Amino acid sequence: MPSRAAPAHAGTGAEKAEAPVVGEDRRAGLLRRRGGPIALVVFVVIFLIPVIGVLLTSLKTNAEIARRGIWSATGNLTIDNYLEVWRNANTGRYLINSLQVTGPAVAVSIIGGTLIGYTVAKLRIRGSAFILLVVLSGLFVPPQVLLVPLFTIFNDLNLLDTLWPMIIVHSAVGLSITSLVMRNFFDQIPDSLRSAARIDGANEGQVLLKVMLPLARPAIAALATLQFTFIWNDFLYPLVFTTDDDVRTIMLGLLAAQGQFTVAYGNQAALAVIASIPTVLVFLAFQKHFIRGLLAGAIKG
Amino acid sequence: MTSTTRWAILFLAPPLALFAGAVAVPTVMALQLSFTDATLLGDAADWIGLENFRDAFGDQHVRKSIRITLLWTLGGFLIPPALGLGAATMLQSNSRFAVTMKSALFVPIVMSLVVVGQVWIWIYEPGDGLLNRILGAVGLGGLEQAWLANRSTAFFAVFIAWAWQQTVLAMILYLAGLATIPVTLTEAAQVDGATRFQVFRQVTVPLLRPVTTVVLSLIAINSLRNFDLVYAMTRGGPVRETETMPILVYRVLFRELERGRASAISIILFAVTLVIVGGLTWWGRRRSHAV
Repeated sequence: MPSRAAPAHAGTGAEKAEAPVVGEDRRAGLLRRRGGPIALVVFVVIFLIPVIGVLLTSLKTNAEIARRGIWSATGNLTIDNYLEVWRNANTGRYLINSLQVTGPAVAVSIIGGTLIGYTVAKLRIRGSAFILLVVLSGLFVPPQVLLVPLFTIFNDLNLLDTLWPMIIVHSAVGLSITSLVMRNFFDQIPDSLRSAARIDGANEGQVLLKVMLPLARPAIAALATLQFTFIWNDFLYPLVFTTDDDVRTIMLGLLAAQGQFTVAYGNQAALAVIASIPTVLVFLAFQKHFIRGLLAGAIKG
Repeated sequence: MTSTTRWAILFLAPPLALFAGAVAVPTVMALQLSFTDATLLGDAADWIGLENFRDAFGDQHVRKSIRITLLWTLGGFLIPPALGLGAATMLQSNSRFAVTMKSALFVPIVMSLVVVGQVWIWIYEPGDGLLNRILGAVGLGGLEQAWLANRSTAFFAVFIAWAWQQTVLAMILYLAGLATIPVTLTEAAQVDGATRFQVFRQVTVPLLRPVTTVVLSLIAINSLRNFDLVYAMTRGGPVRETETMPILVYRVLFRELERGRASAISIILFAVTLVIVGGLTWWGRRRSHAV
């Protein structure tokens, strides 16, 4: 199965890259030593300017930005914008709302995907292939297709302006990717592991919980990182399903703030940084898993 | 029924019920709605057959949004993978600088598109945006303009902001892919007298094909779902110049309040997604079996 090669190698690849490239021809080597680093620095600077721009702007006073522009180099930095955003806007509420959506949705989508992926890969009951096909076809459904009927359904259920629509939709939509990754993962686990545990008297539930789950930890970590980033950053569903400021997620709050403090760029930037901290932290902690999740996800669709 | 089957049903029932309720059934409902003249909150709706689809293909705004979405996807296929691969090749070393940069360059991918949109609005700002400042500084002040408000530049301006993020995504995936290529293979080719470029073209790129399939699939999905960045930067304007299909569905649903038409357009988007991403997956599989 060559198509599964990439995720399998992704984890072990880092060590191999350390081996030096030898035998390159000398002219190219010279070009690489001189031209390479310069091109690299230019590339990195261009790609980091937007990130640095937000960070710097968040540390400047609004008065200074008004006088000298967003992109001026600055001497005096301050954390006043952060304090102000924290005090004035509903920032704390937004963050809690985002956590209340992201936490359960990440958990439910991964638990559900593990159950589907394991059953399809290892229990192989009749209809497994069809069930997998239906769940995976969710990857192709644009969110806009779901919005049209879901808006009415949540309206009828009186759930608009609560956090439930986002929790439910993200949990359900996430099942496609989590089932795919978990199915691919359990496919590689030898069947003998399950039969051995069964012979020792464990039932299917115990096999999954005690034997399979501990093995699946890396795949689960990859999915958790991916799902966290995706759900935390989303603002389409909150935009459609909520209007009340008290149920806004942080991304929707940020979007609203852009209209609210039209000229207070410093405050906007501070809120943007606050909104980005959780995903950056999760990423820093799980960098390797994140890449593996991305690679595993789109392969073997 | 064997005990294994009972367990299988127990495992599958809860997640499948959730999936059915929030994804499968709504998708079928959207298809059904697309054949009606339903409005957003009205109850009565009549079956009008294919009229919404006929209207959609005759409507210049729908046709334009299809063009914009396809152009976006095409641009996404061409630019971010090429730049990302180039950057990955440069960053492949394990010098301390490269390792630090690899981590720093990750930030754009985990950044929300609201934040990405916000900072790029500042870059394109008509007064003292970064782009205009740079143009002024290098003596091209004549080109300065309101990039996002100008009908002929808005599309490219938003696209570049998006390509910035997708390039980093492609780069990260290619870095992971490059690390899986055994050095012995490239060395052997060089010993045989191949130039660095030949090795790259004839050894590295073919070996990266599985990764390229992943990159293209992710970019296709991201292009076709492109709502967030456009909404954050232009809301589809100026004069609907950046109105992608997802933005159009949102507009028809919540501004024009036509649920039937919105469903029909969303179903067209679904079909386009199936053709493009399905085609890519098929291509990727065929190629990887051929290698």
